[in-house]
Amino acid sequence: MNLVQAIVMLTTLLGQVEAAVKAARTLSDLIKTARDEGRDLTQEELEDLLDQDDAARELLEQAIQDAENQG
Amino acid sequence: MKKLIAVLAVAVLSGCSALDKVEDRLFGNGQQQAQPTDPRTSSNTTEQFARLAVTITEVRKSAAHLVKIGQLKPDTARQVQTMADLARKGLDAAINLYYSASTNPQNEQEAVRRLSEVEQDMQRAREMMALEAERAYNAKKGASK
Repeated sequence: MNLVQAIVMLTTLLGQVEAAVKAARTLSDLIKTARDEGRDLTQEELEDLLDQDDAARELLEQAIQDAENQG
Repeated sequence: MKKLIAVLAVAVLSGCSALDKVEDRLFGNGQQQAQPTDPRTSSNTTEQFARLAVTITEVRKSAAHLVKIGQLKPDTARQVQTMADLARKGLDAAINLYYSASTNPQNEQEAVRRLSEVEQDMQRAREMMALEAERAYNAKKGASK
């Protein structure tokens, strides 16, 4: 692995970690708000999270197709 | 250049550490577990739904990333996608059951049971992905020697 590859890999990794931290914080805020208000999470709040999964599904599907096209 | 890599590595480690702290606070590893203001178990159930939704999303995103950098074969990524779809289906069903528990109280128990199955599905998907990525890494390492 050369230096440029190492930098690209580290930068990509950093992006992944940032995204994961952001997702965890969003979830943390959501749960905290519900707890502070003394209630369960609503179905609408869960559906917002599931919409993000729909987007991630598309992302993975695209990545698979790109990889398959590259052979 | 070496300094740049070092800075990036530190940034990655800081990010991982921050993620661990957030997860500890959220999911109750050790003594930092936040106590719900509402002691009903139903409160924990909806939080479990949310946690699983995020887990499924992150598994898909990780798989997409690993495919892009060539650490996961498209076939395996396809399997991960299928497992995540299955888990999502289970989660959707569990959520619907849970929120319809006001009309049938038994639905809440069924929702919790399904939740447990979904957790196991996602654990299997994660393990499969980690194994494949490790294999790819070792294969590349062996080839470069």
